[in-house]
Amino acid sequence: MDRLIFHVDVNSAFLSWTAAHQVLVLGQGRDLRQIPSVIAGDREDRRAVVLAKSIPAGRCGVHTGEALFQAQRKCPDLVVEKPDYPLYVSASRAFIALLRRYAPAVEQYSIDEAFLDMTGVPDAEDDPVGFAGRLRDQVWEELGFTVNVGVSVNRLLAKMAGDFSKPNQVHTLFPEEIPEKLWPLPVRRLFLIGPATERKLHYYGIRTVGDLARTDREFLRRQLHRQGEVLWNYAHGRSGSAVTETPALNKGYGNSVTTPFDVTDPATARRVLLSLCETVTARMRSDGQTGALVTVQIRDRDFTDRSHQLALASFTDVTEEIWRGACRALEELWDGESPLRQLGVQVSRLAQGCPRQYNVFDGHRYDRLARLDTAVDAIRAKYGEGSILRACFAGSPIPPMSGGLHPERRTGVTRPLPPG
Amino acid sequence: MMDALNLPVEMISVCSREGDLRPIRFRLTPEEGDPVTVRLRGIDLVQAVRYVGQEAVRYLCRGELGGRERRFELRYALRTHRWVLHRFLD
Repeated sequence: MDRLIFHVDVNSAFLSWTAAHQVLVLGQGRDLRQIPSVIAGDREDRRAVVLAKSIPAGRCGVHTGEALFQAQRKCPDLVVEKPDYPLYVSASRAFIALLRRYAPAVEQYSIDEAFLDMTGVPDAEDDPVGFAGRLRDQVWEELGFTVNVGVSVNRLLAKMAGDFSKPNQVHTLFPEEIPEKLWPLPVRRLFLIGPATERKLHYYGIRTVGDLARTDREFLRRQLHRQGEVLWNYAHGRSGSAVTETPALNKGYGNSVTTPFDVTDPATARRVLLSLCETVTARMRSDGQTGALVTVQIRDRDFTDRSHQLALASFTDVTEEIWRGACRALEELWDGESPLRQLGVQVSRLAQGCPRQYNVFDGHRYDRLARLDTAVDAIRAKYGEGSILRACFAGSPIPPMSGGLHPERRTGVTRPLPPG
Repeated sequence: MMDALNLPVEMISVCSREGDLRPIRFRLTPEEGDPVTVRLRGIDLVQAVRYVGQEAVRYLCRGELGGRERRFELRYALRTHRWVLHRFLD
C-alpha cells in the first residue's frame, strides 16, 4: 500500500521568523518579507554571509550563502538584519509541536523542515491537498509564517514537490506526475545533486532529470558507481527510507571556520585545524562514533575551494590522532603560504565500537590520549567549553574550539530539537 | 499601519482560581512628565497567541486616559512575565 508523506518547509526560515517577530510580536509596520532584505552577521565582520533572503532580494540576484558585501553590491537598498537564534529555536519548537498535533509520525529534518507520515489519517488520505492546505493555513494563523507543503508517497518526492514554487504553496508529486513535473527540471534540482555531480552528469549530456531517468542504469553504475544507481532511482522517484522519529546517525562529522585574518603560515594553519578537530571529535565521542577518513578543505582569497583526503591507520575518535591526519592532508594540499580565509575538517567512513588497529610505533599512546579526551569532555560538560583549553591556544587569536555554531546558536540548531 | 508602541507598563492584575489572568490597572511611566495610572473599564477580547513560538496573551481593553475613554491592546508575555501597552486601537 502506498504511504502518504508530507514535507513541510518554512519559507526562508530565518528571515520569515525575524519578520514575523517584528510584525506580530513587536508590532512594527515594515515587513521584511515584502522588501529586499537578508539575515546576515555583522556588517563589519568579514565572515558575514547571507543566511536567508527575502523573495524580493532573490529577484535582485542575492543568493543564500554568498558574502554580504557581494549581496549589497547587487542590491544597494538591501535591509540587513542580524540573526536571532533564541527566537529561531522557539519558533522551530512551536512549528514542530504544531505538526505533531496533525501527524502521527513527525521526523524533524532540520531546524525548519520536517517529514510527516500521514498514512492512515482518514482526512488526509481522502483529500491530501486540502489537508495540506489547512495545515499550511494553520501554521500561518497560529505562528505567523508561511510554509511550503510537498505531498507524495515517499520522502524524496515530497521534498522535491515542496521545492517547486514558493512561498505558501502546496504541491503534489505523485509517481504518475513524475514525467510531467519532475523530468523537465534541470538535473541540479534533484535531491543530493551538487555542483560536482552536476558537472559529471553534464559531461555525459545529462542535463535534465528526465535525461537521467532515460539513461541506462548499468551505464550510470559503471561511470558513477553506487551513486549513479541511487541517482537513477531518484530520477524515477524511488527512495527507500521511511519517516523515522529517531534521527539517523551522521554519515560524517565536519566543521569549518572562516578565520578572522588570512592564514599564511603552516603553524597557524595547524592550530586552526586543531581547534576544529576539538569540536568535531567531541561531537563524534558524544555520539559514540569513530572514523577512519579525514578530509581537509581550504578556501583561498578568491573563494576557490580545494580539499584533500587521508585515510587513517585505524578507526579513531582521538582528537590528536585525527588532527595529525588532518595536518598531513593539509601538507599535501597547500603550499604553506598562499593566504587562506577558511579551513575545514571532516571525518567520515564511520563505525561504532570498532577495535583499534595498533601499530608498533604508537604503542599505548592513543589509549592514554583517549582517556584524556574523555576527561576533557567531562570537564567541559560540567563547567562549560571555556573551562579547559590546550596551552597552545592561551593568548592566541584562534579560539580553542572552532567551527560549527557559536555556543548561543547551538541549542537545537545543529541537531533535531528534543521534544518540549 | 503605524508601528506599535510596545511600552512596558507596571500592572496590577488578578489571577483566578482557574488560572485566567485579568488586568485591572496599569501605570505608564513616560520619559517626561508624571507617571499615569489607567484603570480598565472593560475587556472586549482575550486571545492566547504564540506567533513565532512566543507565547503571549492579547487583551483588547477600554480604559480612561487623559480624560476620555480609549481602546487599546495590552499584551502579557508568558516567558518574561512582562506587560506591554502594545498599541492604541482608536
